[in-house]
Amino acid sequence: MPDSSTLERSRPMHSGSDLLRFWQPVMQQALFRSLLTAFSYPGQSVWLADADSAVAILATLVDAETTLSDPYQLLSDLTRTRLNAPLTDPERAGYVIARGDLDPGFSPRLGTLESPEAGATVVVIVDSLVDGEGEGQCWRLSGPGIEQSRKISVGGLDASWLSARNEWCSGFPLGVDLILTDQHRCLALPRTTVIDDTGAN
Amino acid sequence: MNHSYELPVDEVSYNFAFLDEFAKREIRRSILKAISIPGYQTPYASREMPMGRGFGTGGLQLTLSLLGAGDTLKVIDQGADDSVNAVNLRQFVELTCPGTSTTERAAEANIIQSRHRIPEDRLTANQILVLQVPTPDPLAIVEPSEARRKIMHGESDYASLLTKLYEDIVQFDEIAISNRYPTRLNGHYVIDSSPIPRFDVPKMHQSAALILLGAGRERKVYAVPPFTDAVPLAFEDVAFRTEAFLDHQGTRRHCDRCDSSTSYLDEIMHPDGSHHWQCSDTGYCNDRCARRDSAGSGAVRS
Repeated sequence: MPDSSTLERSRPMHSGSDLLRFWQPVMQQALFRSLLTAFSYPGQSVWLADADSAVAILATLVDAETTLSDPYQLLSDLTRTRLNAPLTDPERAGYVIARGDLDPGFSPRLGTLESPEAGATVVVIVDSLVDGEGEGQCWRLSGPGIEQSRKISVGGLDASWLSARNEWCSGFPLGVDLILTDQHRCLALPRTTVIDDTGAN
Repeated sequence: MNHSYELPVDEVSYNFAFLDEFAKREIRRSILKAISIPGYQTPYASREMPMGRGFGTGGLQLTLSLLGAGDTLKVIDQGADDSVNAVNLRQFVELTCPGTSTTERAAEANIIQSRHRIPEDRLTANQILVLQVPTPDPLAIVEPSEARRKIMHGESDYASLLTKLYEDIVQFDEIAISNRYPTRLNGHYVIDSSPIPRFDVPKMHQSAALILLGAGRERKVYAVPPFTDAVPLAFEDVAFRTEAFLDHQGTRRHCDRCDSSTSYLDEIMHPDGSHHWQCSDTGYCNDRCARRDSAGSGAVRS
């Protein structure tokens, strides 16, 4: 991923019509159900798409009624047009797409005490997601949706993300909900999930 | 709903699951936020549905935004599949969601929409329970202003609600809430558990299945995520109690049909003044009867 400036330009074999399927209602229903599983059982990775899973997530959730921020210019112009969401700063957007290999470098919306749902959803692109121990940062998760605890490993995520995320989510009900995604799968880390760092491999 | 009625496909073609895709996307966004903030009443743009508010439009909109081809739905009204509300909602889904199927057996369904009951059989991680909610805010009985209630919820300030429970104990020696029992999720938000009896409230605690609660008129959706602590409000010295179904001798009543002594029972009155007890969950009761009849086929029932 570091060599690519945009998600789609890095894989020219995927034509525009291939991406268009993310906007088809049947596909969006299936994608939403996968996201629903991911949010219900945090840390459990779910299959989304053969490629461009971040675009699949945004197509499922974002439209003209939401605000979107793409500080690293990861989306192609065509995808932005199709999403049709007003673009704004990551500090003010409801949905943010960000690179995981870089320091977050922004402070997303946390919501308010009366309306914590205004806290942002941040889609973070990483290299790999592994259930259990694997490459990258190894975390032990607990909290709602997790029976006892669950171990996951995230590859290609800058170490500063964990402390930033824990800072954003330190005052429940305020916080940020993360969706980590590689090219094919995603897992959700809602603000209620407690993340213990068990060290890097 | 007229059973022979068909949507006028030639003139107006309705979208799959009736709602348009923008409405569904908005509900889906709200559902994910509701799961992320367990118990928080997330606002959503409840659409006009072709049935009155109060007939399960909140739960129905959640169900319609979840449903896709291959899903199997069960609709429950007061434990039964064959009462008016359940039949109407089930027929509406059959009419507008081609490719989905419906069932009366909880174990076969992966989405269960219900009103007033949680099925007796333990739900699994492959199932989603959608509950219909008339009044989503447990603080409404103690604080009329929604603006103030939102602050109280955010601060997890439920002192006035506990005072109401205490007043019940002073007056009746017992917390006098038969259904919609206030329940605290994950140590923060207190929810209205929807008009399920007290008997069903413990089923929310550490449930393997996701529970979504939708209020159409009040335009709110909230969630009990799987494996989440759901603790009914009570006091250290006055514990939460569920319905015991004891007779005068103090023994647990049985269902007159399937003989279950663990289920929630309805008391059925007869015109001659006599009465009997029967499972409220008809799917569960029918299953048990069918199993007994096939096991003891040929045997004469006493």
